[in-house]
Formats: sequence, C-alpha cells, structure tokens
Amino acid sequence: MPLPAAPWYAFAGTALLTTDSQQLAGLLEQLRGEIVEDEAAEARIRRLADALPSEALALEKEYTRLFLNPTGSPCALWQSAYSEMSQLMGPAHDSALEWYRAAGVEPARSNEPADHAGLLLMFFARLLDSGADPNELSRFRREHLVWLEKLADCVERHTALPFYRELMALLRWLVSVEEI
Amino acid sequence: MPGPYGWLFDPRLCIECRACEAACKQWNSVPVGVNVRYRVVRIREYGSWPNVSTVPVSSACNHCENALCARACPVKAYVRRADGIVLLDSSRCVGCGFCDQFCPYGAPQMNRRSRRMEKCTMCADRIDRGLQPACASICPTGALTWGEWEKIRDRGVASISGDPTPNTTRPRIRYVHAP
Amino acid sequence: MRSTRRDWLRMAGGAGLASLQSRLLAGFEDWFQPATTAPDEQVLITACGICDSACGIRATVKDGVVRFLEGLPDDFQGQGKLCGKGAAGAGFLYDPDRLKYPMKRTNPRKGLNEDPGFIRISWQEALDTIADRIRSYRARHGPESLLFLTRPSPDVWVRFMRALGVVNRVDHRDECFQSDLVVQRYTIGGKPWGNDFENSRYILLFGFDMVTKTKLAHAHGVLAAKQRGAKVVLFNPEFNTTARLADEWYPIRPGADLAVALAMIHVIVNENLFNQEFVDRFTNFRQYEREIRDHFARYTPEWAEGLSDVPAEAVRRIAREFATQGPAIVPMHKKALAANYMNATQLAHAISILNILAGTIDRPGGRYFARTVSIPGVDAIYPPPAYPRVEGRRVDGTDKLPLVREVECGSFSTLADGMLNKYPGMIKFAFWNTYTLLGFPHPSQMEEALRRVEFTVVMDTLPTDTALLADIVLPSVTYLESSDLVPREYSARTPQVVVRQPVVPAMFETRSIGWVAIELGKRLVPEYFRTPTGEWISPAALLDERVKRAGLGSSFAEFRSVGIHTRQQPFTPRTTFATPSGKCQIYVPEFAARGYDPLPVWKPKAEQPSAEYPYYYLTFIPAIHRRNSTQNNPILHEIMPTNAAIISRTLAHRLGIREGQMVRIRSRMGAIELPAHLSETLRPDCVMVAHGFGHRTRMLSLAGGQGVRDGDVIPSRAIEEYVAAGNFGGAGCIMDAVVNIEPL
Repeated sequence: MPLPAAPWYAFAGTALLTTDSQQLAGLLEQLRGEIVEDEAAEARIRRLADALPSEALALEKEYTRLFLNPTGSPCALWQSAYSEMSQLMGPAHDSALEWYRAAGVEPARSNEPADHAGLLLMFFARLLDSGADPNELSRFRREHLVWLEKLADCVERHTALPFYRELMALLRWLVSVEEI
Repeated sequence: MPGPYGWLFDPRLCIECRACEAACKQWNSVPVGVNVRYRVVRIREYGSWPNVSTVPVSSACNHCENALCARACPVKAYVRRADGIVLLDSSRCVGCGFCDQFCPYGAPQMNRRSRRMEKCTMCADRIDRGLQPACASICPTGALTWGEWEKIRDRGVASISGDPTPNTTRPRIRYVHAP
Repeated sequence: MRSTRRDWLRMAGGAGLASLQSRLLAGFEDWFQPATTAPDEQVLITACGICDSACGIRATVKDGVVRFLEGLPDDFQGQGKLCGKGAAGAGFLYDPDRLKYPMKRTNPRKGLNEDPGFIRISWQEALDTIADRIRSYRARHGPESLLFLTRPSPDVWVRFMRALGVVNRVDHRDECFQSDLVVQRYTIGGKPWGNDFENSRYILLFGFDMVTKTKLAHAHGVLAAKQRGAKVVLFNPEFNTTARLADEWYPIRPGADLAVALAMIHVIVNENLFNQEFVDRFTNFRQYEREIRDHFARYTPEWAEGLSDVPAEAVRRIAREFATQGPAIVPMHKKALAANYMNATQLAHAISILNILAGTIDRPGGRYFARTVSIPGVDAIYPPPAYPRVEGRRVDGTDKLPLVREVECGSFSTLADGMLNKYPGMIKFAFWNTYTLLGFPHPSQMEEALRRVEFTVVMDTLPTDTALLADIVLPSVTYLESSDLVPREYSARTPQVVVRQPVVPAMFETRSIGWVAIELGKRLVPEYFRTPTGEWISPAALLDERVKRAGLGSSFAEFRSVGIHTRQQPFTPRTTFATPSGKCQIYVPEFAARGYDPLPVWKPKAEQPSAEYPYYYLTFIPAIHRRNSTQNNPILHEIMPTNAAIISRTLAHRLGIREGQMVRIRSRMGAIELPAHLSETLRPDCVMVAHGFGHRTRMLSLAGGQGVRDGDVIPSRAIEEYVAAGNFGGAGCIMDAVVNIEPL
C-alpha cells in the first residue's frame, strides 16, 4: 500500500505548528487541489475543513491548553517527553537532529527541541517528496512517526474540539500506513 | 588505572545528599518511573528513642568476585570484562528474574516497561576514558570512593549492618567505620 | 551510515517537482534552514542556582544538549562537588512542563480549579499590557497599589521598582534569615554570611539543617572541622543527619532553644569565661556590665532545663566548653531557627551574644563578614536620576516594625492578613517573581488574597499553582540559561567570583527578570533606563561594565572562558564594627530607644501544646529537594515523590497508628491528611512533615497532586502579634504550630 502523498504529512505538521485558522483553511483548499481524486481523501479534507472552529481564539486556546501548559494531563508535542526519561532534548531530539543534518538542514529555531511532532512530519513530507529510498522512509517512520499514536491517544483523551479530533484521526492514518 | 576496581564507603561522611544517585541517573540516562535505580541511598535506623542512631548506605552493584547474577543467568546476558566489571546486556535479557533472586544486594532490577533487567555498569564508559564512575566522582564528602581493588580490600569490612554475609559473593566493596 | 544518504537527501537546493508547486510543502522553509552547526562537545563553567551555596559547575554540553553536571574544583563553596539537586539540574532545563512562551488568560474567573484559558502571546504584547496596567493603577491608586513579590535583585529590577516608587516589595526573607539580619545589624554591624567552620574547634548548633539539606558550602566546613577534631554539639528535636555528625545531641523541646542560649550566656558571664581580650577591646560589655549581669542572672541552667528538656548539667558544661575550648561558633540562618518561632528575634540576639562572648566575630573559627570582590551595580555604573520618595502603606504591616523596614525586608507571614483584612482592595496589581502559594503559611488564605487582585503577573520557570491565578504568565530562564557574576559569600575568607553563563541558549522564549526589568523600564520610567550617552541600558553592556570595574577581565565574554576568579589577600580581622558605637553591642541601646528589649528576654514560642492540640508540628526541607521548586524534576521526584507525617514509634503505638496508615494532622488553622511514616529518630511529642509538596496544579505532571501542603496547618499571622510578642525582627513563625493527630 503506497504511503499517503507528501502534502498530507505537510498539512498535519503545519497544523501542529500553527494555530492560525485562516491559514489552515487555506492550506486545506490547497490540499484538495494537490491530492489525486479519491473519495476517501475528499471526505477527510471536508471533515477537517468543517471542523475548523469559527471563533477566532478557539484554536489558540485549545492548542495552549493541550500542548503548552495543559491543565489536564500533558500532551507534549516533543517525542522526548514520551520517552522513559520524561525530559526534553532526549535521545529522540539527538536522532532527529542527525536526520536533519544528514539532509543538510536543521530547525530554524535552534533553542527548541528538534523532535517536535510538527517538525518531524514536515521533514517526512520532504523526504517523501524528494523520492527518498523506501528503506530510509521506513526507518524514519519507525524512529520518529510511530510515537505519534501516543500523542493521538493523549489528545483524544483530553480534547472535545472537533478540529483536533479530526487532526488526530488524520495522524493515526498517516502513521499507520506502511509501505511494503 | 587497571582493574579490578572496587568501592569504598564511609557512612560517617555520608550526608545523604544523594548526589551519587542523581549523577548516576543523569550520566547513564537511566529511565525514571520504571522502578530502576542503579544506585540507591538507604538509611537504617537503630536503637530506640532517645538512644538512636542512623546509618546511611549508598549501594549499587558490587561487581562481585563471585557474581551470582552471572552464574544464575540462563541466557548468558552477563559478561565480565577483563578488568572485572560485570556488565549486563539488557538486550539479551528475557526477564526471568533469576539474577535478582540470587543477588543479595538488589543490583539487577526489572525495568517495569521493557520487562528486562538493568543494573549499574560501574560507568565502564567513563572508566575507559580515564574517569571515575559518576557517583564516586560527584560525592561531595568522599563518603563514596572508587579505586583499585588491591588498595581497597584491606581498608574495611565487607558488609554493613543488615547486609547478608559476603563470603559467597565476595563483593568488591569495603565499609569503613561501619557501626 | 547516514552520510550515504546525502546524495538523495539534498534538500537545501530544492527537491522534487511537486514541492515547487506545493504551498504545503513550501511551508518547510518556515521551519527549517540550512544546517549551520556541527556536532560538538564542550565543557562550560557556570554556577548552580538551586540554592545560594551556588556551587561552581562544569557542564558537559554535547551538541547543544547538557549531558552531565559536575562540580568545579577550586570553588570555595562546592569544592569541586555538587549535591543531588545540583547533579539533577538538567531536569529543570528540560522539564516538558516548563513555561515556554508568554501567555494571557481568557477566562476571567480565577481559582485553582478553573481553567485559565491561556493563549500564547508575544513578549511585546505581554510587556505592553503589563506596562499599561502599572501605569493606570499607579496613576489612579498610587504606587502603594502595586505589589511586587520578589527578592531585591537583580539591580536593574530594583532600579525599576524604585523608579516607580514601589512601596510594597515583599520577599520571603522573614521565613529565612531576616531576624538574624535585623538584630546583627545592631549587635555586630551586619549579618556575617561566612561561617569559618573548618577552623572552629567547637561548633554549637541550634537546629541547623544546613548539613541535612546539603548546603555544600556548610557541609564541607563542618566535616572538615570534624576531621580536625572539632566538637559538634546539636540541639534538635530530631536525630537528623547533622546529629550523626555531632559529638553530643540533645532532643530539645521545640521553641526552647532560646532558653538554652540564655542559660549559656548566664554561665559564661557569671563565671567570667568569655574571651576577655575581645570583649574588653571590641564590645560594649563593660559599659553595660551591670545591666548585663543583672539581666542574665535569672536564666539559670536549671530554669532552662525545665523549659527545654536539656539537662542543666549539660547546659552548664557546654557553656563552659563553648567559652574555653574555642574558637567557637554558633551559626544562624533559616533552619538554624532564624524563622521558626515567634521568639526567633530574641534567639538571634542571644546567639549573637554567644558569638561575641566567644570572641570569634570576624575571627578564625567564627562567623565572619565575607570578603568579596566589589562588583558595582547599575546605580554605580549608570547613576540614576533621583528616586521618588516612597510614600504609601505597607500592606504586610511592617511599617509597624521599623527595624525590618530599615533593612528593606518585609513579611510573607502577615501579607495575606494585610491584603484581606487590613487593606482590602488596596493591592490592584501583583507581580510574582518565582514565589508560589506553597511558600506561605496558611496558603489558602494567600490564594484568596491573590484571587482578589485585579491583575496578576507570574514569572517563573514552572507552571505552579500561582500561575493558575495569573492574568499574564511570563516564562523565565533557568540558572543554566542565565548570565551573572556570582561571588562566594559563605566561604569567603578571600574573595572569589564564579561566572554564571548560559550553557545552552535560552530555550523557547524564556527570558530573565533582568531583561523584563529593562523592557518595562523603557516603557514606564525611561529616564532611569538610559546610559549617559542616551542609549538604552542593555544587559550585555551592563555585564561587561561590571566585569571590567570589578577587575575580572575586559569583558563578560572573556570572563566566561575563564570561569572563576580568586583573589589572594590576607584576612584582616575587623577591629571596628558597623554598629552605631563602632563596637560589638551586647546590650543594644538602639533597641531600648525603640521600646524593644535591649537584651534578649525569654519568651515562649507562640503556639503551645494544649489538650486539643497536644503535639508540636515541625517541618523540614529534605536533602533531595529545594523548597517547593524541585518536586517536578524527574530524577528528584523519583527519589522522593511525596511527603508523609513522620511520627515516633512510641507516639504511633500510643495512638494506634501503623506504618503507612493515613492520618489527619489538624491545627487551629486547618488540616492535612497524609500517610504516616514511623521513625525512631523523632521526639514522641512531635510530628514532622516535609515542606514543598502539595502542588495542586496538574500542569506539573509529576508534582501535581502529590503530597500535601505543610503550610495548611501553620497559622499565618497579623503584625500586631509580632509587636505584642517582641518579635521586632519579624521572624516568620514558619514552624510555630501545634496539632492533633488522628489515625484515619
């Protein structure tokens, strides 16, 4: 089964890095244009677009509540936070940075961890788009995308906001597909 | 410094700061929350009020001359280096727990999440770079020291209050001024 | 090997065709840039910031990540070592729960169970909003409506507050060493930070948790003294770590240390055992000899035994030994009782007298004034315009304690009473700089007081309970991301300074309070924040100037690479003291002039056991934690995740309490429920609980919901109580409580 197209990963990544509803709505439009015709994909995009909140600050508030300083259990966006050491800048950060450097890039913000879910997804989108070796894709997926299931578990436990619920469904789909 | 190596512990100097525990965790990236602490400081009380006293003991793996853990392991996950350090290859571990049953010091511990045993490595990686184990190097008072076993073996006793008899395992630790 | 992927992974120069057209994929450029940094490893020198032992650190930083922290050889205080907290320091830097960006609340309702509805905002918006609020409140309600809960540092922050005419800056020092500071200003001319334990032959300790809570600067000294055969005598209701080091330990009744100290003075004065030369030359003893002898006549060791449970013969013998087997020292600081009980001000005076009689003030083996490198502050480097007069009411009531105001200290323990009862509604704005509710007795009262403040700013590294009540939250750097010059003050017979530098760049958008001070200053009081040449004061330029003028080098960058500066100079003991008379003052006429006791008088602690509350309540700081700020550190949390009620086996047996059983500890102020831990080391009329636990907020994923707040049973105070009790040093009574214990 082929992996979802790169723009899907790019969208998921962006949606975890920004809370600008208008920008996200625009990107969904873009996504619709970039994805090859497919009913399931259309439906998914429509559900995401419909789920975007109309109230200006709704996304911001929920994002802060879930990811920045949640008042419930934490759903950190950095892979290291889910590891056994429960700290930022753990082995996942080191590994992500190695991947980025091997590709000649690094995060634009050097004082933040490199293993942010959004960054990892954006990077994977680029990998996919530049025709990377399937073994490398598979390895990156194992090392740096599979953990997103845990993120999705956490977010779904703690949010009622439709957009983030749809986004987690998207994440699960993106992470579950393996190229054989 | 060639091995074998050993620990020397003086409870009179220990101020229970637990720098040894923290430095070990930090250097070795020992996971938290999975019931694994390579080095632990325990305080034993004795006597009764008001004639009381306490004894702190910092213990990790004693890299025993007769390492029962290694002998008990059915999958040969334990290996002794030429310098005497006993290393556990957790990736070979099948989680049977025999080593824990045989070790009198509680050194091998079951990681609750991975279901494999882990234990103190005497910071073999630091020793290979000419450094001391993290715990001994950070101990603020010198209560816990580390060095050549030949220079330590005659400096104290082999067990401290409450410890099992050392005759079988012959742990490479000596306690100075043990009460 | 990853390098083989370079061929097909070249992204910097553009990738597949699709990406040129895909807006989605083009977003990559917003978040990534060409790699500029290469993997590296370095060791950087800095100073720990967890406690003010400020031990020097060598930080191993690999690839921009702190891997290991260890001590700095040659540092006088840490002496090349770190304690458990310091070794675990990376856990504060990399705490996933740490505050990362400025935030503002959108839910106007405030409470520990309310979701604040925080959204992220820019620093610009945060600072502009805060400045607007300050401007508005100050104009409409005067500077007294602004409350700043902060230590008086750094210098630019103090400048900002003085420029605004702030009346109500309050810090926690009443819960620490304030009584010692207030009293010693008049007895010997200031609080001597140095304790020359290693040269002491007789170390007398009242309480003195310094070793138990591992302030390394002190632990090293006491151990060194012991190696050299010094005698250590400890009075403490618990056989704690320090007791193990002591040659003699007495399980003294809580609050009665003052009785023992007074009786010791009685013996030493009666039997003329004091250091005659020092006393004659450098004190006012002879001038007030009659008053002194008469005053202490009544404080016999027998009298002291009845109050303290320390045998009279021991008090007598120890007094004689103390006076004749010196050099002798009695240290005093927070857990050496400067803050514990209502009689702490009197105890501070008594302890000062003991040191004076021993003749070791600023002498080898005694308490001494730290020799420091003179590091000028911002006011010396850029002289400010005249500061406005401070006019307004002190909300903590310390205008009733003029000697406390003289040293610009305040009172945490009376603050809530001031905000709720004495001056309700006066405080419109509060800025909390790293303090939390857990630092107050009766925290729920402080919570109520805080909820009623119209606008609250919280600046911290962690999202504490206080942050839940904030209107704006500002993310602070940790000490591992800060810049400063850190002189040694505890071990400072010769001057030494250690650098504090960011071992990694400040994470996320965290900033220092010094930076915030300047930014707010620019907005509110710009005339105080320009250099003589008209530019804005910059933190970096200020640091460079301080380095240069202190003779530490030509720039901060240069001092960063050196890391530590030690000045060899002979220690010249003081022969005059900064008191009004120029001598050490045993009898303090200035106290008499104010209507206070010129010599220490026996007063009991405020709360005494009764039928309803028969047991003494003690609190302590465990070695592995620092007050209430470390409970979320993963390594430290694992070692000690929560607190328990420590009860003696004897008492537990009597009350039918088993190990681990839940108990309710109740005082007239409130109750806590927690598991019992039985111990042989505690007096059977006491119960002891570790401070620092009981964070409510789930924003602290490890510490939230763990343990109980020790302060929930400790009475907060009204300033009138201090005045009535002769507590003119404002000691915070942080352990002055009696309780009942019930098994649940």
